[in-house]
Amino acid sequence: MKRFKWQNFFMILPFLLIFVVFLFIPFIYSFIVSFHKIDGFSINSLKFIGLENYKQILKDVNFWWGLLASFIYGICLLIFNLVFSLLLGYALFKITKFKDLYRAVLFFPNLIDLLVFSLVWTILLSDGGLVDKILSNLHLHTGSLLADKLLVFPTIAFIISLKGIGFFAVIVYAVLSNIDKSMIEAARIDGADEWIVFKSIMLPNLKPTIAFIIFSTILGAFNAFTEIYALTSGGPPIMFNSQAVGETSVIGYWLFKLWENTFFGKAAAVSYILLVITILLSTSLKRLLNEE
Amino acid sequence: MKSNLKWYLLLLFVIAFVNFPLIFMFIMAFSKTGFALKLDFSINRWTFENFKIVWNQFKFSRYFVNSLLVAFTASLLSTLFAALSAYVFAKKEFKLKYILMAVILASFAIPGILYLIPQFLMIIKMHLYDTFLALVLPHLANTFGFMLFYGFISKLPNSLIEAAVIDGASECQIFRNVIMPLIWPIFITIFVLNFLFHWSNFIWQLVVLKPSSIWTTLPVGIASFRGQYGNYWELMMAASVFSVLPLLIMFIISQRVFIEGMTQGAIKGDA
Repeated sequence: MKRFKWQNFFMILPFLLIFVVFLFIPFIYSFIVSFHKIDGFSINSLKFIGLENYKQILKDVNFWWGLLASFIYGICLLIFNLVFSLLLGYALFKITKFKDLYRAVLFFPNLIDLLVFSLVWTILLSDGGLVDKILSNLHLHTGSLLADKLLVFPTIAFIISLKGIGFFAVIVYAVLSNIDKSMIEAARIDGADEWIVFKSIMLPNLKPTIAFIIFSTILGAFNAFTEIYALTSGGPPIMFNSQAVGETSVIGYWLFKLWENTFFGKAAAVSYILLVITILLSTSLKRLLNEE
Repeated sequence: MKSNLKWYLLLLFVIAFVNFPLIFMFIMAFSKTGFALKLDFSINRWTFENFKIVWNQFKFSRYFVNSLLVAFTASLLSTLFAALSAYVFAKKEFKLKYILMAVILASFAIPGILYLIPQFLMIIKMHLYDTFLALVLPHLANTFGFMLFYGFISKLPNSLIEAAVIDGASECQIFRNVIMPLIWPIFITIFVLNFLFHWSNFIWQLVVLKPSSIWTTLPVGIASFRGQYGNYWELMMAASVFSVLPLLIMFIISQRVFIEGMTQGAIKGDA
């Protein structure tokens, strides 16, 4: 019954065709384009310039800062995601009433369009906005958090983490409720407190979930664009390697800026460099997570 | 109950915090000009005008319909394509199957932003810039959905399909009458996730559309509104409400199936 019939061919055709045309060929095509200079949108007037795009990128301070900024943002996001998802997933596990309601409402912010969500926070976090008013009344901080060089990344990571946390928390909760209850009860009878139960019974079960959270957070941080575009437009300005860069100009934002200035050849080259970096990164990350 | 009180309080606090932007958005959207950031909640504050203004005068009705068309078409087709091909990959043997699977799996680890420029160049090359197809086509190969469907369908017993074959069912009938009834909760989950993705796929829509294109979608419309009338917070928030409502309604309708499908998918997908 496992024989492939002619009808099956038409069942896989749409998926494979789109996959090849839009997820595979573009990388080959942009590899070719990356050795050329393009004048604006006239894609057919490619001018071969060899490795010039690559040379320019590797010399560009914005590229290196973009990578570093994405990394910093990723670490901030990862810390918040891990802490919040474990804490909230555990809380969902502990409560007994209105479980479904809590899960659903915790998931709500996932449904808001990221741009809209970021715009609302732009208002809340603006200079003299609600957050600024509260913090300055408490004598904790004055001025917009988004203009604060030290706090801008933690601030963005905090709100973005909480936007998506319902998703991770629900998964953590699902794993916890799949653990054999008798094991937990036996440990409790033997005198283990809540923390020991969590550490020695629940945490080992959560390992694949934690690996999943780490992996998707790092990839997500690499993808960051919309929140940066809406909240900071790449600012505030800082000095990096004695040159001025935008602190939150993460790699995705810089790529967009290259596109906006119609440096398509250069943008293609950047995409290709990043492809190599992410392949190396994700294979080593996978190996690291599998080993543990 | 008593020992759990702290966990209830923690959840309540977090829920209030994460949903605050949503509430804030609604309050601002219903506020008269000048009231947006004020703490005055008297009868003078409230109005319905903002919605009428953005809907009629600022073409948000058009953006809304565009977004709906794009998100619905793209998510329906991508979910269907993924399910169809996952069935064949899970239950049939054919040449190149394992190589193709490896390539699909590998592509899964590439962050979406890296596709932006290559796909954009491809769209230009295919003369699809600023068209409906440019918004929809490139995202119809949903590898994430494919992997989820693959995991589920390969766990279904082969005897089900064998019985259908003996009854003389064609492949399409098997998919429609045997496979679909069993995977529909995941189908709905993936559809909702895809809808969410396409509804908010701001950067792609920004990149493949001309400024003030007839295909302008909601996020692009809101971003350009902000660029021109950035200080009209209440109008911007009214426009944002149009972007949030369909998703909230869809989620409330499909909530139980959706969360169930998502958790199952995540647990089994990990293992």
